[in-house]
Formats: sequence, structure tokens, C-alpha cells
Amino acid sequence: MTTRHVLVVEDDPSIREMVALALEDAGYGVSAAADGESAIALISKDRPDLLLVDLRMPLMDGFEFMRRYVGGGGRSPIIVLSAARDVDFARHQLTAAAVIEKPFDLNELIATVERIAGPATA
Amino acid sequence: MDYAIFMLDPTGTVSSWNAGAQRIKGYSADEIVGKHFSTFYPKADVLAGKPDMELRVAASEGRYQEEGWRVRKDGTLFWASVVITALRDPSGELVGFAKVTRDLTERRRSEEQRAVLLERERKAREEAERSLKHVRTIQSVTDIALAHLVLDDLLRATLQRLVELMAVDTATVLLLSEDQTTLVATAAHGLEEEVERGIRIPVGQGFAGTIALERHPIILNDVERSNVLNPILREKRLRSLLGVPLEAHGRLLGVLHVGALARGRFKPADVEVLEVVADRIAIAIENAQLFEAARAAQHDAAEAETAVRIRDEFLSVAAHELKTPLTAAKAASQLLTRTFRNTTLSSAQTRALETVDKQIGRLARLASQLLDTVRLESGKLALELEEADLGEIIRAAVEQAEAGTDKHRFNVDAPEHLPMRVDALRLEQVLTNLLDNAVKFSPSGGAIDVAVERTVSTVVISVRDHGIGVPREHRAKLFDQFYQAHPNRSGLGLGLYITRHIVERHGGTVYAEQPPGQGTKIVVSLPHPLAAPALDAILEEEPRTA
Repeated sequence: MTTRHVLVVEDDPSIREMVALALEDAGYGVSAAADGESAIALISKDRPDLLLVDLRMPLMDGFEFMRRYVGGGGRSPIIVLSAARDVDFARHQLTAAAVIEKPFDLNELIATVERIAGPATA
Repeated sequence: MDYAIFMLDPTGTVSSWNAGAQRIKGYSADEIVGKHFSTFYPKADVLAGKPDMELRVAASEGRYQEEGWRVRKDGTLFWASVVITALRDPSGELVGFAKVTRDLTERRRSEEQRAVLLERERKAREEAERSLKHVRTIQSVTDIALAHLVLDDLLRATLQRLVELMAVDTATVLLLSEDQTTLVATAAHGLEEEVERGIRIPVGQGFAGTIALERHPIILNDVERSNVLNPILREKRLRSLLGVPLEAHGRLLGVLHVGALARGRFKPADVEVLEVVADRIAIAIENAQLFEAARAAQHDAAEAETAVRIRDEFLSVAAHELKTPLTAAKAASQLLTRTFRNTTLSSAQTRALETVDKQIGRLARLASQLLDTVRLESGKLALELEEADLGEIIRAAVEQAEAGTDKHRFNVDAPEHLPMRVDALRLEQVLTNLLDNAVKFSPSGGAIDVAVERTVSTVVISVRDHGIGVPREHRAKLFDQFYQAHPNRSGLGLGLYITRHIVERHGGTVYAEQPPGQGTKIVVSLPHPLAAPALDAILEEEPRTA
């Protein structure tokens, strides 16, 4: 039985922590990064099955991170967490498997993760 | 200018030589007489047979004339004007040629120089025209600033000229204050202290004040015995004063007066002169004031625009900043609820969790209303039109509204499915806003009726409550920004404003009406041209008359 792994890339520590705890509670393996740069470093180590990415971040923002991830051959699906639907939705519905608008509903978030990455353990 | 004049025999051999020829060509007579004249031509011309050709032309035509390059003894070229004339004896026999050559090198050089100068001048003129354009542009920008400067300068210069022209000792302009009660010394010649000290004369008082009040010229030929208020006039020992009102288009602008040390200086003819000058000055002052008013209006408009921009930027930043803690708090409360899913909570604990969740939801809605308002104001609210099911949208909105109240009963009269091309999220927001309002304005509960009707070209959605209602005079204003029909109710007054804009962006309209009985009915009409089969179905239902 393997546990699916989710990488949470979010600069706000409280949102990052709550999302990580909720995903762990749902049975997923979770690693978390506060910006794109640290996230890139975690990818080769943790090999996530799914990425949850905030767009507005310091150092390397979500756009740049996704560009690098996809450009570097990353194939795991990405869910974008966005605070501005109009702009980001249109720009990233192609790259992202889903766009979730903040403030999101946690239950919906987990349901979306399960739909895209599959159940926590398989 | 030198002329080389020499003779050639019929074959072109030089037979005589003058001093001019020596100066131009460099040969002495001894050196050149007996030589063929082709010596004077560049080699290429000689090879081309040009010298002989010229002689043939001169022999047959009588004369050959040209300008061209010739060679001096030292080998240098010069630009020559050449005339060759055939000489014949009385029997008509050709005896030779007279040749006159002028050195035009200088002329040619000066012509070339002239061309260069002309070109330079042309470029300079273009440059000047460009500069002029530039200056005009700058002028148009600085006109407003200059208007002020120019008025002060103009007044000073005019007063100086006036003093010279009328052979008086002082000239002063006093302008009416904005509140029309006081004259303020603004420009002076010979009485600069008035301006420096900011002398102010109440309208109706003293010499200038009386002119302003009566709008009539006054001559004072014995100042000591008059009611002159201004101490400076006395200090200066002015004995005679003449003043006229400054008026433009019937409006009093101020007073212009001149003064003389001599007693009894002013005559009626002086009044006429001063009135002409006063007319000119009044026009200049009026123009300057118009400029100033326009500038101030521009400034105000720009300030108002800046204020709106700053407000929108602030709202945008504030709404975004609110979202981060909201997201974290909402996630935390929901995480708590999730982790308690297998725990039995007391009713107080359950209630507390529900309350946190519900209030965070309210905060989130307020924040997104603010953000939507900013987007509307800045034209950035974009619709994402897609095929959506109105039936589904209505069910989702009603379910959400039902969860928020236990006092209301929702009656839905709408088709199960109604495909439309809309922005589904925005339309759901419209319905949520309308249902929220219906709940809010029927505080004691009751039925809330949601109905969908189709016409040939529209879909009409109505939401009706049985609550407190909206007085007729408030109904149209319901959809304005920050408007609240019932000020003691909660909210920002943005819900219906945003609703109206979303509906209008879809090409629809929204209005409020007073339904029979109590309450409020909000009606949203969206364009929805029916497909032909659906149209047939509706027409089928019409009773036929045949």
C-alpha cells in the first residue's frame, strides 16, 4: 500500500499549515514550501503526485514555479490556489488541472485533490 | 576680372597673346605663340577632338561659346568661359579666330559655396521650424502658468507707460476681492508701497472705495481736503487724484487711479484717456481670471480623479489583504469540523463551530463584494461565458440560501434544465445576492418565491419575499453603489449594485417592484433567443384562431 504525496507551495504560513494538516488528516503524505525556490528543491526529494500552488509568492512566484516545473519535465498535476479569479483563472486553466479561488472551502479542496490525484492510499 | 585675349590662325595655332592671357594661363607670349591651342585643353578633351570641333563650329556658325575646364601651364585646371569668334577677310576667307577666355573658377567656387550655404540655410530653417513647433508645444503647456506672470508684468508695464503718457506721478490698480467687499492694491507705479503693504480699501469707503461702489470716475483736485483713506497717498503728498472703475462685461473688477503732486491736475479730458486704458486693463485681468478659473477647475478634476484612483487601489489592496487571513481562518475552522467528525460535540461546541464558519463566510462575501466593486469601477470585471444550466444554478443558490435560514420557505418554479450561455459563477452570485436580500428583508420569515419564465426572446427570473418591502421612491436607487434602503440593516450596500452590473454585462436588465400584498420582488430579465424548436413549442401552446 503506497501513500500519495502532495506538495503544498504557499507563502502564508497559516494557510500552508492548515492545508497540510487537512491533507495529512485525509491520509496524504505532505511536504510544504513557502516559495517556488524551496519547492523546486523539494520536488526531486519527495516526488509529489500532486502540487498545490499559490500564485502570489515572494522569491519565485507560482507562475515562474509552474514554468520551471513543467519545463524541467514535471508531469504531476497542479492545482492553483488563486486570490484573483478573473486574471489567474484565464491564464492558467491550461497549465493547471484546477484553479481554486481563495478563500476556498476545505472540503471542496480535499475533494478536488482526491479527484485529481486519486485517494490518499492505493 | 582678367580676360585672356589671343588670336589663332585657321589651323588653331596661337598667333598673338596678351597680358591677361599670361596671368590666367601662365604662359608668356614667347612660350606659347606658335603652339597649337589644344595645349589649353585637358587630355581627354583633346583625345575626343574637342578643340578642332570648337573651331569647326566657330568657322561654320561664326562663333563658339561654352564654359568648361581648361589647363594652366602648371597643369592645374580652371573653369573657363570661352568665346571663339571666326575672323574673315573682306572676301570671306577665314583668316583665323579670336579667342576670349575668362577664368570663372572663383565664380564657380562661389556658386558651389552658395549652394552649400543655401543647403545650410534650408536645414537651419527646417531646424528653426521644428524648434518653433517645439516652442508652441511648450507654450501650450505653460500658457496657464504664463497667464499669471504675464498679467503682473502687463499691469506694471501698462502703469509705467500710463505715468509717462499722462505725465502723472503715480498709477495704481486695486482689484476687487473674491467676496466683493474689499479692494486690494495689486500693481502700482510710483506707489509700489501700496502693493508691498497690501493696502485694502473697503468698497464704499474713501476715494477708491467710492469709485467701486458708484462705478463712476472721480476727480479729486484737492486731496488734503478729501476723505482719502489710504495713508500712503497722503505720505506721498499727492494733491490730485483721478480714478475710474475697472469693468469687463458689466462686472466690476477693481479700480484704476492716477495721482499727481500738483494740485488741480486733472481735467475731464483725462477721464476719457484713463477710461480707455481701464478698458484694456480690465480685459487683461478678466482673461487672467478666466485662465485661473480654468486652471483651478482642471486641478480639481485631476484631484478628484486621483482620489477615486487611490480609493479603488486601496479597496483592491484591502480586499486582497483580507483574503489571506480569511482563507487561513476558514481552513482552520473547517479542519476543526473535519477532525471532530468522529467526536460527539456538545450543542454549544457545534454551535460555536457553525458560527465561526458562517461568520467567516460573511466576511469572505464582503471582501469579494469590495473587490467586485473595484473591478466594476475600473472596467476589469470580465465575464467568462459558457454553456451552463440555469436550472442547476438556481438549485445551487437556493440550497445555499436554505442552509443559512430556518425561518424561510423557498418555493421554486423553474424548469429542471435550461441551457444558457452565461457566466455561471457570476449568475449564481446574482441569485445568491437576491436570495440574501430576500432573507434579510423578511426578518420574520415566510415564503420566498423563485420563478423562471420564458418569453420569445428572454428568460425572466424573479425573486420575491413577503417582508418589509421597499418604498416606491427608494426602488430605483436600490441598485446604486453603497445605497441601503434600510440603513439599520447590515451590509455594504454593494450586493444589488454588483447584481445590476453582472446582469447588464449579460445584456439584461434588473428592477424592483412591489408585488400584490407585502414584500419586494426583484426581476431579472436576460436575453435568450429561443432555438426554433423551442419557439414552435411555445407557439403551439397559444390558442389557435383559424
